[in-house]
Amino acid sequence: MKDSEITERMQSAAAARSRKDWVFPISLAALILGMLLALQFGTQKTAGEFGGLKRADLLAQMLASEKTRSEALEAEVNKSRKEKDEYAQAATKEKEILSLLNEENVRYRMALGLTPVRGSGIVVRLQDSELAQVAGESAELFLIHDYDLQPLVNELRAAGAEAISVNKERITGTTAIRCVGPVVNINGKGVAAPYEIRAIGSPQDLKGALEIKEGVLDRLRAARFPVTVEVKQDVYVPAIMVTPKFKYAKASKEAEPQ
Amino acid sequence: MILLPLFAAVLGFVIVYVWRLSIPMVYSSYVSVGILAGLDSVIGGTRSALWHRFDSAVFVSGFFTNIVLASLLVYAGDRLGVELYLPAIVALGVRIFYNVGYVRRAALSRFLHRPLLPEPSEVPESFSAPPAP
Repeated sequence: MKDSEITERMQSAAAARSRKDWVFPISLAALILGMLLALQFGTQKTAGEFGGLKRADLLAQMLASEKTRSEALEAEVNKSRKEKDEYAQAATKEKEILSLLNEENVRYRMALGLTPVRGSGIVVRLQDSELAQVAGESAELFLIHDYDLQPLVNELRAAGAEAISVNKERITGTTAIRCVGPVVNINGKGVAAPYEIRAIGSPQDLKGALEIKEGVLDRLRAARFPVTVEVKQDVYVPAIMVTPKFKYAKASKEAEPQ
Repeated sequence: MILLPLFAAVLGFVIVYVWRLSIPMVYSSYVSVGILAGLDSVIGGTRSALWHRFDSAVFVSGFFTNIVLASLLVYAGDRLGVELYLPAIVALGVRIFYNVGYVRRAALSRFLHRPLLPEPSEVPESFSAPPAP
């Protein structure tokens, strides 16, 4: 009787002690657990927003470094171009045959988009849709994409445009128009809305080709993209910034080998 | 007093959430398994507390060891190309359900004033086996 009483007391004392003891360690653990949970919560949320990486920072850094690189390259291009012009000028002074060659050179450079050109033509202005974003609809639907610009440029070429540029980027034989993230990449450079497409050629032909029923502009207008076409007697189309390089292609004098 | 762990969890959550801390997406699977391990430890600790068997040294060491171990296991699985987070999640999930069951029983016995029976696994041999002559 006495023994059992003692054990009972000891047990209840131990119980009291243990009850006091557990609250603090478990609270500490719960605190850490809550922190971990919030951490994970934040990560999953960020993942939904930006695709996981700290992209804003990363992209800003990349943009800065690319900008400096691009500026340096443009300076280099301008320098080489000036040198080339000087050589060409010197050559014309020396001999008449060289002047003829130079004329030919100018024509080819125009065709390649190496010289800025001007003449009559049209200017198409194109913007992202002003429609408010409908709930549940992706913003993608209201932006101009590469697949909106490509048929436009294609149509202008088909209508006999002699030179085309999109936002200062000359469209040449080696130009690609392609979406990279939120911007369209032309000649490896990002361009964004509002788009200004300039084309030199017969203004009537160019405008008519675009305005044709069920044509490029009709499709864009159906999607509520604001589009204007302006006929101008003097359109300036800039040159391509970077001269195309031929690393793999070599000139061939023969007809196609059998 | 009993609600303190709950408050602590909410506090921890709010602190980190307000600071907008987050970890790279690649590590999120490690943290998620770590959370599961920590949750298992906390519920297990509550269970042992309700049966008056709580030992803070065992609990605290177990809490951290389990979190680190679970995360390491998943990391090792990633290195080896085996999805080790699956067994970790299953094992921890099963344990959590068991422990919650025990906590529930203890809570019921407390609120319904029923006697708290010893845990089945904790019943000593001498109670079930007939006493030796």
